[in-house]
Amino acid sequence: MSELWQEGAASLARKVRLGEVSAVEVAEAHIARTLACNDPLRAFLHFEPEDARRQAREIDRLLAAGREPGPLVGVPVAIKDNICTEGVATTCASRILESFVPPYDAHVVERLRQAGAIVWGKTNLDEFAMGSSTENSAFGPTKNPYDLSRTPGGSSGGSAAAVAAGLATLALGSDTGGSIRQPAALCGIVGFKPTYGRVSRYGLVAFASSLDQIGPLARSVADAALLYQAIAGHDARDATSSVRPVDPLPDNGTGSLRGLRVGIPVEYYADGLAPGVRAAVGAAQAVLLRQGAQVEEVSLPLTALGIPVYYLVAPSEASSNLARYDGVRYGFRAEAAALEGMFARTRGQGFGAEVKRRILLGTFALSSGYVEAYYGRAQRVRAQMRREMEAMFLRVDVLLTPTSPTMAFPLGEKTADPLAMYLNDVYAVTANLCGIPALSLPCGLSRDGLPIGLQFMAARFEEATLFRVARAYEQASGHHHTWPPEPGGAT
Amino acid sequence: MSIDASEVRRIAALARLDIPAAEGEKLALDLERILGHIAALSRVELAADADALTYFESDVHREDRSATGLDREQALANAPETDGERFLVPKILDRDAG
Repeated sequence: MSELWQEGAASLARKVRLGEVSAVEVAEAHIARTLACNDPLRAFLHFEPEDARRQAREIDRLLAAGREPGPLVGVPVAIKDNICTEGVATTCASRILESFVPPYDAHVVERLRQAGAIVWGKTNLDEFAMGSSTENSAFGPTKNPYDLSRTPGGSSGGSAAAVAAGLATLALGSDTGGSIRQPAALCGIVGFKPTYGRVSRYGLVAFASSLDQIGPLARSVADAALLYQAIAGHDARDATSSVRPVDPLPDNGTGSLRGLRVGIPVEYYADGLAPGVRAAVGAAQAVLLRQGAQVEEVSLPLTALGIPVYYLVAPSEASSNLARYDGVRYGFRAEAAALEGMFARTRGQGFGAEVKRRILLGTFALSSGYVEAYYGRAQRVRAQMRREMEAMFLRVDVLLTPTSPTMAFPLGEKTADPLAMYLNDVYAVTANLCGIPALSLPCGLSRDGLPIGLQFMAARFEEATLFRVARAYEQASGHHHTWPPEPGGAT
Repeated sequence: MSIDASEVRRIAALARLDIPAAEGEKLALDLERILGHIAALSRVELAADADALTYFESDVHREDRSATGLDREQALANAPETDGERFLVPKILDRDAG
C-alpha cells in the first residue's frame, strides 16, 4: 500500500473529502517526509511544520462544519519563493530580499486557499528566477533527487525536486524561459506553462513581464490539470489577465488521438541534442502514431533565433523591473554617506553574479544609441516568430519537441560559462516569446537512470488540446512518474 | 560588438550597480560573448510591418474604482529605516565627498 506522500492530488483530495483520512493525517505524512528529505535535497527555503498543521486543522474544522470542500482539499502545494505569501518570507533566493515578508498573498495563493489546499512552504530557485540549474540561489543549490551530484534544472528547481521526491503533492513555479518545464523534465515530472494571460501574476515578483507566467508542477498530467484549473482565470489586478472563460478540460476519454495533427519541427532536433533524448522523443512519436495521430515534419526557421531574442528581451525587462530594489522601501540596504552611493552599493552587494550580469546586459540593450539595434530589433524578430508560430498552428494542432537538449547535468558544470547555461533553454524560450502554452512530461529514463522530458506546444488558449494529447501519451507510453532513490537514505 | 572594462563601468553607472574593479574584465568578456551570440539577429530580414505585432492583445482595463491599499504600518514594515511615518534615506548630497 502506498504512503500518503506518494499519492496524487486527485486521490488525496477525494480521501479527505470522503473522510477516509483527515487533512491533519495528510499533513503529518508530508511533514515527516519533508523533514527527512529536505536536508539532502534543499528543495525548501522556508518550511514551518506548525503552519502546515494549523492550516490542516482549519480544513478539518471546516469540513466537520459542513463546508463544501474545494477541489484541492487537504493537498500540500509548495510555492516557489518568488510568489508572495502573506506573513511568510518571500526571498526570491536573493540576499536583497532576505528579510522581506509580504503583507499580502499572490492571486494564485488566494486561489489555492479557496480550493482547500495546504500552502506548503517556499521552494528554492535561481535568484529572481534567473538561471537553469537553481545554482544561482543565494542560499545554496537544490539537488536532483535522481542524483544528488546533479542539478534539478531551474529556475523552479526546488518546486520540481519537492514534487518528484514526494515532499509536496503539487507545486507552483514560474516560467519566463522554461523555468517550469526544464526542471520538470530533469526531475521526471510534469510541468506546464499556461498561455500568457491565463494565470494572474498579481503577487509574482516580476522578472520579465512580457514573458512571466505561473504554472503547475505535478507527478501526473491529471494532477497538473487539477492545479491549473484552480489558478486559471481572470483577475483584474493583472492587466494582462485574459477575460476569456477557462475551457473545461477533457475527461479521461478513450485515449485515441485520431485526427490530431502533430508537427515535429526539424530545428528542435539539430546539433547539441543528446542521443538519449533524441531516442526517447523519437520513441514518443511512434506512440502518438499508434494512438491514431498524424505526425509530420515541419519547419520553424525563426525559432533558431529564440535564445538571441530571449537574451535581449528578458534582461531588458529585468533591468527595468529590478530597478525597484534600491534599499529604500524593502529589503537589504548597504550603508553609504549619500543616496546615490547607497543605491549602487545596496544593489552591488545585494544581487548575485547572474542577476548583475543580466541587469548590465539589459541596461546596455536599452541604453541610448543601442536600444533600436538591440531591444527594438529583438522585439521585431519576436513579432515575426509569433506570426510564424500562428501560421504553424493552422497546419498542426500540437508541436512535439524535446524539453531540454540534455539530461540533468552535474552541479558546477556550467556555472562558469553563462552562455552554455543559457543554451539549456533553447527549446523552451519559444513558447514564452510567442505567449503559447507548453507542457513537459516524462518520456523515460536514460541508461544512467536520469529522467528525460518531452514538450508539447499548442496555439494560444488551447490548453485543453495540450492536456488531451499529454494524457493520452502518458497512458499509452507507461512513462508515468517513477520514484527517485531515497534521498539521503530516508525511508 | 566590443565591450571592455570601461564600457562595463559606464553601463553599471547607468544601472546604479557597484561592480568591484576585479570583476570588470570578466563581466566584459561575458557580455562580449553573449552579444556575439545575439549578433545573429542582425542577419534577419525584417518584414515591412514587423512593428505591428510587438505586444499581446490581451491588455484588459479594469474599472477605475477606488480601493483600500496597504495601510501605513504595513507599507513601512519591510523598510530598512523609517521614523514610523516615512521612509528614511541618506542625504542626497555627500558634502564630505567634495
